[in-house]
Parts: sequence; structure tokens; C-alpha cells
Amino acid sequence: MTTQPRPTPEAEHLAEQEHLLEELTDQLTAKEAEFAETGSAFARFRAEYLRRFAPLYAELDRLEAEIARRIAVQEATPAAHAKAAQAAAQADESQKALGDGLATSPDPSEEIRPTPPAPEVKALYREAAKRIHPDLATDGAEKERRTTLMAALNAAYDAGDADAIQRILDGESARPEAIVGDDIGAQLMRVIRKIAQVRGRFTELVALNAALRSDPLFVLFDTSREEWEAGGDPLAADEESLRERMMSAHARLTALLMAATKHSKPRPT
Amino acid sequence: MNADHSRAVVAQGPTSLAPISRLAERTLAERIERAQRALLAIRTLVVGPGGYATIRSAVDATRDGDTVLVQPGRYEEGVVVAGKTITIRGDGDRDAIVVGWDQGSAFTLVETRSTLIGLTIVGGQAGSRSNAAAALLVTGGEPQLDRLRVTQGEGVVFEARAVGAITRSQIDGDISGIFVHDGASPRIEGNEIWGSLSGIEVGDPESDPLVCANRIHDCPYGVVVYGGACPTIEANEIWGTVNAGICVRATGTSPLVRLNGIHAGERDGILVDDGAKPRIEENEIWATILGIDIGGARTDPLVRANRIHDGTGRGIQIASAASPRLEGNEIWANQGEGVYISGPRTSPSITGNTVRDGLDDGIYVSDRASPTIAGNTIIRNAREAIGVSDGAAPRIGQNSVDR
Repeated sequence: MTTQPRPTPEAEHLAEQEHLLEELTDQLTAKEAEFAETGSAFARFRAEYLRRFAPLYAELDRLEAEIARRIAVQEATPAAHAKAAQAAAQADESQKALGDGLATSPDPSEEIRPTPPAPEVKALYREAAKRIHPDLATDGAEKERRTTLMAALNAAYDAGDADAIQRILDGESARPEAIVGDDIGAQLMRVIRKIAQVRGRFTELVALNAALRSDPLFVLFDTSREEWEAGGDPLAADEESLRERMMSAHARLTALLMAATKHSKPRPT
Repeated sequence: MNADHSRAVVAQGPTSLAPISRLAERTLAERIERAQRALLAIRTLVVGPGGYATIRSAVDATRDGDTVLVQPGRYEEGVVVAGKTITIRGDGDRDAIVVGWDQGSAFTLVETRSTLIGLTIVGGQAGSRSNAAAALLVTGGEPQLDRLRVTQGEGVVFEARAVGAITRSQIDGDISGIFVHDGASPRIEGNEIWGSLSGIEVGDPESDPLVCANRIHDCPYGVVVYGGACPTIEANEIWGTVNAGICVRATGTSPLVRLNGIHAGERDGILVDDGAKPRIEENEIWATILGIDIGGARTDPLVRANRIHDGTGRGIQIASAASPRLEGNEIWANQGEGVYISGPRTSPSITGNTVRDGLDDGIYVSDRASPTIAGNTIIRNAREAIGVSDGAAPRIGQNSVDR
């Protein structure tokens, strides 16, 4: 009868740390995937919001600025001029939002609906993210390589391209650097550093999430997401209300113009 | 999340929002403003001195969310609430706020989720069976009817797949207190119903209302179920009925009748016939002539764990080719037979029951009936434990008997 050699304390500790790293990596991967999914949906919502609302706000604010300017000319009071300046600034800002939208939207006329990635794409993404995550790199060069790869992975995920994700996975598995072998001390050091990196990324994700939630556009997305992804139109009432205000502004401006025309015409003899 | 995008958001920070985010901030603020305006827009319209002269005119002027407050008075009119969601509430002593006329229903609720509270509603065309005779006609929708007093005519009628509820109301219609048909399935809970031909009537294969915790009394029938309806009739108290506390009839009619207390009836506690298949469980029935009366071919209810006692006649009567299953019932101190079985092809299964302390036979089989009687405890009855007349053919297994 032979007895198994008892593992050394270092080997036991290494096994424990490797197990911990495995668990943390799984959690991080899940969190990253959730974050990626939210980000992908948010990006679509953002484009949809821009497409529909930026032109409306720009037009509404232009009308309001014109109304305020004409009133300021008529009244010639400091208060009216201040109001006109404020309205003009508002119009500039919404014009800028419209410009941003035109610059970033792929096709302003195309309605964008949420298309959540298929479950198999999600699973592939998780597997690949787990394998190539930059925060699991052990040196600067490796981190840089992984960061580039991660960007490609995120792009493939956003596009729902399972083949591209698979190619990234296959390429990573074939790399000779993926095979490691070293003494226990060095391995332990490497695992402990990886754990620190994973924990660091967790902290970073929490901060990113908090920052995202302070963005009003994300708040709007978050309150609308369920209805939007179910095929509804949570922005319909907002759009309708905005159009009503635009019509009202149009009417007021028209009334101002007519009044100005009437006063400027010579009285018929 | 795309890391680059999320990092960019962090870098901007809450004090330097992107133009698009500032637009979203405006959209959110406008949403709050609209919600506040909607809240402020909810109005209360008063009917009575100083207000609207009629409920109808006030209802016509309402928008969703409004409340119509009806002050004491007699309002001779018919009110229709269609589509909109409002509340019509009596403002004062309910008995002094009376709505109704002789030309039709006092209230017709059409596809609405409105609420009616604290009114006395009088049915028109007393004595006739028609929608026009209903004091309150519910056609579709999901209204809430609470603490009403409904009198005369057809009482309350639910139809056209209406749901909703009628609760804590007092009803004495001429025909039915509450009539449910045409796929309607309301909740009928906590009401007192009396003086109608039937307290509650359910007659449609797609109607399955919940009839729960009502007090129904002094009607010919307490609850009548037919036409394939499948309501749940639960925890009601029914007394003083002339014909039956609960009457279940017709093929396909299969309600669940459970935990009701039925007493002081002039004839049946529960009547089942004409092919009906209810489940009758855990009811207590006492001081009736027949506790449960089952008859008719293909009438085979499950009768389980009921307590039937102190009747002036039989505990359970089974006749006319019916084939119910009687399991685990306790039947005692009845003046007639505990279980009476009669008629050709009448072949019930009677197992695990206790029949005791009766003033007649425990179980009596007559007139070519062929029940299976096994595993019962039949004791202390004044006559035979199991009496069998000439021509009857019971299959009698092991029973615990004392004579």
C-alpha cells in the first residue's frame, strides 16, 4: 500500500488562492457581461432618444429664443433682454445636442429598437471575457495586448457577432503564452496579483455604475427600459407633449409677427 | 458596458453634463411636471343642492380619476358610465341617497373600472326578468361595487365577461339578488342578500365567479348554479331558504362548494340534479329536511367531509340513477335516514362515512338501488344500521355497525 504525499503548506495555500481567483473571476465576468449588456442597450436608447428628441428640442428652443428676442426688442427692458439671452443660450445648447446626435447616429431616419444579444452570444462573450480580461494580465505588454483584444470583443458583442467572438476565443487558446509552468512561489505571487487586479476592477465597476446612474439620460433609460425592451414606446407621451409645446410656440410667434406687421403698415387712406 | 463609454461618463461628472444628458434632464423634469398637473386635474363633482342637479350630468362632466359625490336625495334617473374610470360615492347616510327610476336600470356600467360606494340603488320594472329590470347592470369591465343597498327588480346583473367585485352590500332584488351570466366572473364577497327568488344565480359555462363569505337568507333558493358554470362557493352562510340553500343542476355544471354553513331550510340544504358534478366538501348543514339531495342520471358529485346533522328529515338522499361518491362525511341526529338510496341504476359509492344517532335507519337502500357501502361507521341509530328493501341490490363490504 502506498500513501499519497501530503501537499506542502505552500501548495495548499496556492490551491486555496487559485480557487478564490476562480470564484472572483466568475463573478467579475458576470458583472462585466451585465454591464456590457446594459451599455449596449443604453447606447441604442441614447441613439433613439437623440433621433427623436434632439430635433424637437432644437426647434422648440429656436422658436422660444426668437419669441424672447422679439419681445425684448418691443419691451426694451433689462428683464426682457436677460430672458432673451437665456433663451438664446438654451437654443445654442440644444442645437449642439442635435449636432452631436447627427455626428454619432448611424442613420438619423432609422428607428432603433432594442435587440438584446442572443443567449449563446452572451455565453460566448462571458467565456471570452473571462479568458482575455485585461485586468488578469501579469505585465504591461500583456495588459496592452488584452485591452486591444477586449475592445474587439466588446465591438463583436455589440454587433451580436458570435463568429467574431469565437475567432477571438480560438486565437487566445492557441497562444503558447497561455501555457504556464513555474515554481509554487512564483505561481502564488502571480495568483495573488491577479486577485488584486480583479478586486480593483470590481471597485472600478462600482464607481462606473454609480457615475452612470448620475447621468439623467441613463435615469431616463432606466425608467423606460422595461417598456422599451417589451416593444412599447415609453417616450411617446414625452414626444407628444413636446410637439404640443412646439405648436404653441409657433402660434405665439405667428401672433407676434402679425402684430408687428400690422403696426408697421401705413394706415390706409 | 463599453469601458471607454463608461469612463467618459465618469470623466464628465454630474456638474458638466453632455448636451444630450441635459435634454434628458429636461425630459425627466417635464415628466414630473405633467404628473403633478394630472394630479391637480383630478376633481370632485358634487351632486345635490348647490351642485349638479343629476348624477348623469355630473358623470358626463367627469374625466378619468374624478370623484362624483352624491348628497342625500332621491335621484330618479338612469346613469350610464361607459369606459371612463371614476368614483361615484354617496356623501352621507346611504339609505337617504336613493337612485333609480321605473324606466330601466339605475346604473349601467359599460366596460369601466369605476367604483360605486355608499348608494341605495332601486331597480326598475319590478318583477320582470330583463336587463332593464336590473338595478345595476354591469356590462364588461372591472368595476368595484362596495357598501351599496340594492333593492327591487333583478338586483345586480354581471354580463359580457365582466369581472370586478361586489362587496359588503345589502341586496333584495325581486328575481335574483345577483345574476351572473354571459362569461362574467366577478368576486361576490361579504354581501347580505335576502328576499329574492334566488340570492345569487350563475348560469353560463364560462362564468366562474368567486362567491365567498356572503349571508343569504329567506329566499326560495340561496345560490343557483346551472348551464355549465363553475363558480367557487365558499364560506357563505345560507339559511331560511324555501327550496334549497344551494342548487346545482345541468350537465357540465361543476362548482366547488366548500366550507359553507347551511341551515334552517324548509327543504334541501344542497340540491344536485340533472347531470351536475359539483365537489361538495367540508360544509356544515343542519336543521333542513334533506341535508343533501342528489338525483338524476349522470349526476355524480363528490361529497366529502361534510357535517350533516339535526335535520328534520334525511341526511343525504340519493335517487333517480345518480352515482355520487360519499366519503368521510359525518351524519348524525337526523330524524329521517342518515343516507337514503332509492331507484333503479342508483349506484353511489359510500365509504368512510360516520352515520350515527339518527332516529331512523343509518343507511336505507330501496327500490332496486345498487350502492357500494363499505368502511363506514354506522352506530346508535334508532332502527337498522343498513336497511335493505326487497329488490335492492347493495354491495355491502366491511362496515362498523352496532346491530
